[in-house]
Amino acid sequence: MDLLEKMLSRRRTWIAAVFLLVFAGLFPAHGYAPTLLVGFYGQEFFSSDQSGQAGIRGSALLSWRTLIADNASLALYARSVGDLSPLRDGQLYDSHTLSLDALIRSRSGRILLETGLLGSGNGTIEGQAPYLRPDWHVGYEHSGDYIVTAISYSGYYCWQPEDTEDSLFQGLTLGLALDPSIRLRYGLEFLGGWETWTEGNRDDLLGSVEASAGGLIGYFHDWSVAARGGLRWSSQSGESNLFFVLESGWAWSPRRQLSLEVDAFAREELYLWPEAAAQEYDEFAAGLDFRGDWTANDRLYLVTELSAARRFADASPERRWIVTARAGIEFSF
Amino acid sequence: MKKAIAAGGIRLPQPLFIFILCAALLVVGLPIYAQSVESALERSGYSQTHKHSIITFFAEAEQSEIPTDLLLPKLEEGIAKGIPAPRVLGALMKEADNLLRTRALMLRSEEGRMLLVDPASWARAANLLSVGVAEDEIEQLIALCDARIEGFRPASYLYVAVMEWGLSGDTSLDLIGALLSSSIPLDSYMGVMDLLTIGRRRRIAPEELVQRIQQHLGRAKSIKELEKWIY
Repeated sequence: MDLLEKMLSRRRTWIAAVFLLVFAGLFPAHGYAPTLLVGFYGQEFFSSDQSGQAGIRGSALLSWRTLIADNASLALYARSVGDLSPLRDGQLYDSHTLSLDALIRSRSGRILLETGLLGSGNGTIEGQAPYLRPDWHVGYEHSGDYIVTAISYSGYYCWQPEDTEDSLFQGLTLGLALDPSIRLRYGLEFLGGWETWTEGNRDDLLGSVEASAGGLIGYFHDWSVAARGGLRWSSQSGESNLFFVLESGWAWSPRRQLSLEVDAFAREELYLWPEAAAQEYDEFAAGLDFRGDWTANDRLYLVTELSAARRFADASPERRWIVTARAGIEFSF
Repeated sequence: MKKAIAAGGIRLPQPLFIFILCAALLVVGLPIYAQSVESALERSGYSQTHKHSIITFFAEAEQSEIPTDLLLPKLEEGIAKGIPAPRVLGALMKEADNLLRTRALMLRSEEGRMLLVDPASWARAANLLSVGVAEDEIEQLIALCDARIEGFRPASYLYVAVMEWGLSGDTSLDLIGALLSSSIPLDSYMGVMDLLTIGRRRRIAPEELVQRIQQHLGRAKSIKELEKWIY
């Protein structure tokens, strides 16, 4: 009986805590107005697998941060995208992102708790099969005058019902950020992780190091560049590889009405024992994304996007290219 | 040898003596500004008449207590770019006029008088006039600096940038006022513009974002910290 009362009491405490959290969110001390956005686009999608087909895209976004105390905030971000190509297969492709984070400020640092969910019910137009991927992240950042040190644990579970590639990843990241001035910043990040395939007999160890730089050019340009290299060491020797990634971005907004962004990436995967793989392959992929938008009133945005990516591989089924052109409107409520 | 000269035992050749005497008189007799101006004009291909007009202009500026250092860069820039003398003189007169107007408005307030001690701040205020900022806006900007007088120049650069980007004058002044009252380092004011452009990419209206920035400035010690709380 005592045990039952204790359990009920504990349960009531939990319920009270949850209600407190929810009401703190609904009636925040300093809540922000949520950002709610819907978008409609026409698009032309070309790929080496399928002939080019016109289609339409719809998207919805909700972003909201609310302060639950002077030193703590909660944020919600949700985005859904649906793609329909009536002339190709008439199928509705979809992708969804949901994330919730809590930020707690301490005297000399920050604690970040984050959880999220990525998924697609019908697969994505880029060819990703239906999947659901919950992820989680716990991190601490210590801020000095010019140096920020960070440590975080993160993970995800990727569930793919139509495939046997379900996997669980967990990793530890150590980061160092140096900000000698507002115009220039440097970063160094070390990642160590473990990935296991739950439906197969495969375990991978992952280690990588990333060096990055970024900053401002004048008042209206910002730029970033990052280089990452690492090793994936797999229990299936054919999957072990060295990888190198280069990413860069540039953004320019000379007036509040206009914004332009360009991002580029290149990725090289060198398989250590390709002869042990089902298909021999080394891969190189590169891509470029452009996005521009214009608004007259901060509510209605005219948007245009252009992206191109190409993958080269030893194995011909892995070679492909994709070009997407998209134009549309977004409305912010 | 030196001792012999000092004792008057050695007579210098007459032409050399006259040259040294003239150089000494030039150094002692001419104000420093004149030396700098003449030195700059020597590198120009301007006619003697134009050179004389420019020297006269600088003499008048000196009489109006405008430091030569504030005008000389414009002359040197004009000469370096090969701009004709009449246009350079016109630009110099415009600059002197801006300096006089800004001095008059700076003398109207305590903060302005404190800023006037620093020629660079005075020049910056005159520069604001030349880029089209109204006198009353400059006065308001100066008044906002009462808590952090050394923040005038970085704040004025940010003010021009956010106005050029598209914020209204009132919103810009509210933002600058909150920033000057915060502990955000002066050399990172430029980062506020970046916060606005990132917010725009996230579809947060700039006026809404300015309110969020104002709300958090009291708690943040850096732009990076501010960024974590406003999106």
